[in-house]
Amino acid sequence: MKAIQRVAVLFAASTLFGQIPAGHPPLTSSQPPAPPAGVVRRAQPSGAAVPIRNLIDRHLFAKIQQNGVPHAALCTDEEFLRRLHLDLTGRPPEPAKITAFLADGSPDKRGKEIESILASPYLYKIQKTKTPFLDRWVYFFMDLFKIGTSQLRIGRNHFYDYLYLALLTEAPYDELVREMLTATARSNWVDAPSNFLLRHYVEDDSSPDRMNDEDSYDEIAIASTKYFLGIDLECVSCHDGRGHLEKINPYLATVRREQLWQQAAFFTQAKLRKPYLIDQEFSLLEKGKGAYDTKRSSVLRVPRYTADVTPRFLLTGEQPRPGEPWRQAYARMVTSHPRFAQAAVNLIWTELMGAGLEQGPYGAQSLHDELLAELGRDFSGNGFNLRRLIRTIVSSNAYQLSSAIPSTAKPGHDAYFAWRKVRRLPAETVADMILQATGTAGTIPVWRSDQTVQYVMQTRSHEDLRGADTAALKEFLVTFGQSNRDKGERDLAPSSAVAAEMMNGKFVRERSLIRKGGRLEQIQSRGSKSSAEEIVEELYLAFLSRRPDRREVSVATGVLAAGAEGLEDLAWALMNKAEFVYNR
Amino acid sequence: MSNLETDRPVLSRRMLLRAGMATLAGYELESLLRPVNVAAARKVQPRGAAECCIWVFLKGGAPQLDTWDLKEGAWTPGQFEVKRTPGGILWPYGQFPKLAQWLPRVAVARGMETWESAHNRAQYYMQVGHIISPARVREMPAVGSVIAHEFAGRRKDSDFLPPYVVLNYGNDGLIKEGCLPAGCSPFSMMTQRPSPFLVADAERERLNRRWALLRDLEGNSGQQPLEFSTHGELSVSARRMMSNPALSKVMTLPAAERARYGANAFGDACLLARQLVAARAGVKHILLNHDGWDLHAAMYNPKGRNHYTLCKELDDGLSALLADLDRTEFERGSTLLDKTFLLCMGEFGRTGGPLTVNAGRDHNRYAMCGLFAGAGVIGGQVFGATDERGAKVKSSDWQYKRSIYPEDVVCTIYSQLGIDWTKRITSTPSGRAFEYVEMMSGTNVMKFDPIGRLFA
Repeated sequence: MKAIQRVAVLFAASTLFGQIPAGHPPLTSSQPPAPPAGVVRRAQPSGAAVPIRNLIDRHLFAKIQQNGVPHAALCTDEEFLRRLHLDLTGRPPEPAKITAFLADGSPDKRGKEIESILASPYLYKIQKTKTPFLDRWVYFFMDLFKIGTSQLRIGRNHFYDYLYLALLTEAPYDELVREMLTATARSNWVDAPSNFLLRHYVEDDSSPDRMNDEDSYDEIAIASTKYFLGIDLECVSCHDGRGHLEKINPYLATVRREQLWQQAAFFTQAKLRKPYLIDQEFSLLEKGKGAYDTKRSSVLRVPRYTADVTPRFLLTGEQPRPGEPWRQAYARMVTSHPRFAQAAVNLIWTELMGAGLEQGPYGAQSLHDELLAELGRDFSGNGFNLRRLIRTIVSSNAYQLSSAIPSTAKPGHDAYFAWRKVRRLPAETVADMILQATGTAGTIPVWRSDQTVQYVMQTRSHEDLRGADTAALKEFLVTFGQSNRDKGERDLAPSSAVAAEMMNGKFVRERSLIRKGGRLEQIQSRGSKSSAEEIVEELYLAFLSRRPDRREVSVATGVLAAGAEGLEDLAWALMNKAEFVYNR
Repeated sequence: MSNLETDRPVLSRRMLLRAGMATLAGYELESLLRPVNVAAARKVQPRGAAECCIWVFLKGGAPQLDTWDLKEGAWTPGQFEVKRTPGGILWPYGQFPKLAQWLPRVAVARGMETWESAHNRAQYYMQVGHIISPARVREMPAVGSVIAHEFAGRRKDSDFLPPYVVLNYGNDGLIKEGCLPAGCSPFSMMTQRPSPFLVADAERERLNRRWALLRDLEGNSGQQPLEFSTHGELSVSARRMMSNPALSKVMTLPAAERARYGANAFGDACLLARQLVAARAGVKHILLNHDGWDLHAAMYNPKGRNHYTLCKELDDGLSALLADLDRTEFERGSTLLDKTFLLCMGEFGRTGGPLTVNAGRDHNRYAMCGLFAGAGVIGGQVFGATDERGAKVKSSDWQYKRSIYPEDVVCTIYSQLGIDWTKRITSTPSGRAFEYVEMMSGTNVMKFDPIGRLFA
């Protein structure tokens, strides 16, 4: 592939999934300063071949070998356990679990650990007990679908419960998507799945019923195409791709503006209604005009032009069958297209592996095309089971590689997944790590619900953090770039504000104190029953999920001699180590 | 010479000339994201009258009809105490008794409009001066960041404050530096929550001790990912800011002063803005947010935060700020107010005539008003007029027939700070030039200019 095309391909990936490919200058705010010279960050390339465990390894290591790409060795057990727990549950492993895992000599202990996290021990019990695994992944989808209170009010809570139950019972993902796309509701405060679509309503003050139907249909089409087909139609919502997107995405360069409207037209049999002015329910019933009106003025975009806007599926041009309700047709077409499975795979893959599998535009040749296609078939051929997909990815040895970049690696090798990508942990995870490690998780009331939760990853959205009690936590999350599920995207960029928050922010300062019922208090109350070395080991396991080396033990035990103050200082210092906020 | 909030060194012009590179902005083209400013063809003469600009932002959109474009009708509550000012305009003395005394020193424009009716789009417009474009939203910098960038090459060693400071806006919808360097990023502070950069005296010893422990623990940890080193450098940079006693002095608000400003979040922000300006330590643009103006319902509800509360906060805080800037010397013969350009407006106006069915006012982009003061603004003028319901501009009374738009306001800000508003940045990630002010509206060519009437 020519150099210019490779750049175009890389940039295409960024627009498809909002991922900035490695090598491209970052487009987010707050870029990190240039690295100082002489920083050692490379490791010896792994000579030993990594065992092939599943289809992912088969594809990736074949490409790695074919192209002479140096790869890292497998990560250590300590690294694996921390990484697995943070990725799958949003929380670090408890010290007792780490010690047991390290002591376990069985050959497939990593596989067993994966299984124990993915299991649903609480299914069919009386109490609606939550598991960290489900909490984390419901939060993921709530984030993806941008569900908050500002539009949906308590519809948010019902939608959360709906998603949670779907994940708990391993509902097939295609079924879930079809349900959401075809949902009706006289009130979104009663019928949960309708909240997915209603999130995207567009208001129009000058319209008699205060709703801009065509703009709403456009937003729904853009959102559903982006989430479920991995194609971002936002650019072509204002103009044809031709003459604009050739260097960005060759596929989108062929898409005409009216193709978005043809996609949106599938929703025109539905009518979104907002009977009250603000802060109340919506309805979504099959009472729409049944036609997309290009003459309707837009409050978001440049005027439309006259075009054929009968419903036509973007990828195939297929139209609804005679008598088939249009939204049902759309849901059928979306979920039966191979791209649906691939987009879902790429979504989960990106979340776990740090970069997308899809590095080329739809339809073009790409490095991992075959793997994506096979994973897609594997997903769709096995009931679109998300848990199974997650298991496949984290069971691969590719997932379990070390993050130490081989010294002979070159810039172009970034795309091969030949080493683990280091990423800063998201705001919610860092906060929950602090709460768990210090043992000071309190109660966070769920807005407009009688439920309370303990961890941020259990909240329905950031709006649950509203009282004086959670003010410091809320500020922490904002500084760390929590997404507000509206226009704000998640921000993982390093900044001095993040550093200052860890060093002197109220939340971290408070949690470093010896608090009633917390870990530090427990340690203190054990007194001389624990040696200084034991305490240091426990703290390292709790905060950093690893054992300290001899030098660290020496420094840390010295600090503990200062009593309570030393204990608090040590907790603070461990949280302020760079490795605390990174997932490697 | 280094920029304090990041540890990225700012290359001095001398170093560049030695290296044989001559650029207009004083930056080396070390990456795609180092911008190059090219002065546009149109010759303009920026005023350069201000050292700093303060934008008091009335977030949510203040109702022009119930603030500074008063139209009496059945909708006017008695508490407004509407009277004619000595200058001959109707003024709600009950709402703005203190600002009434400042009328001879400020200018109010009533013939203003904006392009957007939705909060996030309109707020974006006011922060960036451009329409929100999904294709370019990640790279387009806020006005304050452009200002920071313009002055980056002129920072003195004594400049320890960030160039662009945002007060009480929060993170939602705060536009940052886009494709400009990290030093142009807004330094965002909430006055009701102490900044982590501010170390309480009682905490200082503990923080020093902990910092030393952290260095000991990190030690020489051998092979580390690059990201860890970055994190470490940023910690060093943050630490430097925290250890600066001058910063602490600027950020601490004395209780007696707080009372004079109203002792609330907005008053605190005004007081802090005064201290930031008075420190003369590198602050160039302050976005000072006053939240809560989006009163769709129960505007005059006696319970809770209503229109009366907001007006009182604004009246107390803004007048105290004006007064303090006016009585503080800048140099012989001039005051801080002579050197500070102050403006006050929200993101759009509100509906006119009677209140709505919910006893409030809804968004209205076709009429809004703005207050201007300082750095040469000629006071005692209230110009422009809306219709009898205050809903649409009838005459704008300035150099053009059309209404005054946000772009004109942005031109005025740039001009006051001595910045050529016709400049453009060409080396953006997308390749499309970023014009400081785009002389377009949709597909129509337009000429935007500083509001000359304010100064002549």
